[in-house]
Amino acid sequence: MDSCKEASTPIATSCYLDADEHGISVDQTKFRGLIGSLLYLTASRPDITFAVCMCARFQANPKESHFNAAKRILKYLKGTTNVGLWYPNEATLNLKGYSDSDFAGCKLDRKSTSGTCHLLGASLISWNSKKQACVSLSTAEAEYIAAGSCCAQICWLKQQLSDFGLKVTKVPLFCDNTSAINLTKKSSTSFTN
Amino acid sequence: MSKGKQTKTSFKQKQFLSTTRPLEMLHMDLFGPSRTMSIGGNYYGLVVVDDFSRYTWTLFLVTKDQAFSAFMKLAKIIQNEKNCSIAAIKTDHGREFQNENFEMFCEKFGIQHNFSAPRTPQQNEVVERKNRALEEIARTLLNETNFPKYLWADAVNTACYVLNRVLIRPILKKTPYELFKGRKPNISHFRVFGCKCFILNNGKDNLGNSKADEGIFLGYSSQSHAYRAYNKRTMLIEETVHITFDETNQKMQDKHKNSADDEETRRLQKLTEIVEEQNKELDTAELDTAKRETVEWRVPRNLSLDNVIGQINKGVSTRNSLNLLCEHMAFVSQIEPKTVQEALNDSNWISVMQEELNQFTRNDVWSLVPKTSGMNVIGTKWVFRNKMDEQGIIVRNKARLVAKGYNQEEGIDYDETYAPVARIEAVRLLLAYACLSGFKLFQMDVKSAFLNGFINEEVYVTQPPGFEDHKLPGHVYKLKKALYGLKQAPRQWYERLSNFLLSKNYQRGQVDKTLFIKNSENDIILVQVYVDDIIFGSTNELLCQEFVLDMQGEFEMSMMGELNYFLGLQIKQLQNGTFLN
Repeated sequence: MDSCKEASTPIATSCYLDADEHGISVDQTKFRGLIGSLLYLTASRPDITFAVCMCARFQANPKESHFNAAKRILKYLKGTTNVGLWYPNEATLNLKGYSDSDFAGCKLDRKSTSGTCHLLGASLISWNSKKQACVSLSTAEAEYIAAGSCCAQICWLKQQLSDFGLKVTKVPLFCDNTSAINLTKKSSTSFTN
Repeated sequence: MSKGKQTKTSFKQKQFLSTTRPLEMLHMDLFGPSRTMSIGGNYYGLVVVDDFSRYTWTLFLVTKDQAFSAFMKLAKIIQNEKNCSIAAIKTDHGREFQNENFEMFCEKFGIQHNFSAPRTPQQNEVVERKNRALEEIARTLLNETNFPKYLWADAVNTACYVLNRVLIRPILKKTPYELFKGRKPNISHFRVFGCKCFILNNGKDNLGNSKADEGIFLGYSSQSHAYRAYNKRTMLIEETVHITFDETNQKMQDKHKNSADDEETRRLQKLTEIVEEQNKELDTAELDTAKRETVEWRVPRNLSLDNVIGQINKGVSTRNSLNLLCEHMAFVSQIEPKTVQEALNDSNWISVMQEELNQFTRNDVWSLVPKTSGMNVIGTKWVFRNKMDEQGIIVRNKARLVAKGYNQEEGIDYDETYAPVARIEAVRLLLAYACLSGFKLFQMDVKSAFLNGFINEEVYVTQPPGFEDHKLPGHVYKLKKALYGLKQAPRQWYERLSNFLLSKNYQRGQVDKTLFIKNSENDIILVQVYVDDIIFGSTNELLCQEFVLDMQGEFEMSMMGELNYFLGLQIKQLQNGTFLN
């Protein structure tokens, strides 16, 4: 892998991984080891989180297509060894949450994947990409679930910040689905869009 | 005549001059392709040597077929300069020389084109030897200065420039420069290749910027009376005369101030990444020693850095510096024993194990009691580890006595198990908050943290293997404090630490139980615990000092100072923010 070319993205836009039952099996231990290392790396690299989590779903029966997708992440990492998170000094102390979701991104069980991230001022402090536990029937449902988990994380962060002696009152939660936003309004949450 | 005994003819050195004037005969050869593209985009070097004076020109080419045009240009220039014509050229049978273009050119100007016999580079020895000298010098220059390989053309150029001015032509006892140009060369402007230099901002910038940029000296300009230097600020190679040099030994200085130059090396590396060829081979299995001995940049195909024994950038260690190293090296074992028996054969390891047991006594971990039936005794074993520094040199042997916690039974030997680990988000939140509030974070760790936890249950362990009490062989140790490997050890450590901090008026976090806070007036101190690693920071430095003193009074601590490495995250706390990667 040392001599590989660098990839500009961690995952191809047209990459749909499925169980690939007829594919050639690869060494499970090796695959799991690779995924483990990558998951560890997601602690400081939000950009590969989705791609790693995508690959991690196939650890039970890894095929060559999955292994290739994982290698693509490595190729991407090779070209981006010098990037990291930057926490600047000058910014206002306000917390923001963003949530998004795809719809039925996993073709096997038609579950959606939610993605959330939280910024304190201009610093990214928390991010998450997770396949939802239940099947959504509409994009609004999927987005609502994502917003829900984003909100849970905001609550935790708010509590933690209040321990630091910082009271945050209104935390904006950004969501790009009007129906989901209206759903949150109906159940009268304290968060504004 | 015997067909089985013939050997190659020998080639004797000439003791006389075969030419009488410059340009009577030119020797030519190509070297390359270099594995790395030079900064000008070239892969090949064309070396032209004048037979009479041994004056040398090196021209750099992207492809071999440029040899002709490059030679034609050079030929015109030097014939003009000397006002006499080239009488003969001598090359090997390489297709870059033996082709129609050369033939026509030679015909047109009446130049005799001599070839060395096929497969006999010995006959082309003048230029082959020059090639070797140039490459060797260039390689040495690059290695010595640790420069990226794409600067090879600059190194070769410098080598050629210097050789022309300092070599003495045997028989004639003069330098090539003198023989060719007819005057003695001036070498007062020679500088150490790769030394630090300062380039004047020659009217490029106005007030506010410093008047000079730092740079690296890369040789002499071939066209103008100037030096070539790499400007660290603009990241460009410049040719300038407004330059001052600092020729003190850079290497020794670098050892002392790493951090400042870190960024520099990163920049250079970035450049390297862009320029360097990407097809380095990973496959190193069949590397043979013969290849390792051959020149580096010709055959690095299978040469991985992993196979180089020792460190390349460490340079040569003198006896003096070795002494410094030996002072503590002598007490460090290089092996990692698998069993106690192995360790007991090594005096280094015995002393390390003894030190661990001494720590037990200091911490009042256990007491010897006679064994009775009905006691559930847990076995102990030694774990041996070598600790390495960033460069992978073994700096410390570590022996740890652990209990075989997997023999413990829930309810009898232990009650609850958990470890005080902080969420990674909590760590990042703390980092971001510290940044925004403008205070620095520090870290420290507790030595043998788990040995500090008090134990509530009655737990007995066997005597440590290899260190049994000869007078009381049947006795076992009753634990007062936790041991590594025990199921309750992390939990008990947390208990101990949190009780201590709470007694010092710290408050536990509402959701995050690994966070401890203390407010005093307008200042706040935040302490985040990750098992035995502790991160802390405060708006008031006095609070930090107070916390450190408190902790040192209670536990055996090792103060590690500013937070720079935590849980595999590299953290750089800079003036205007914090960088994580």
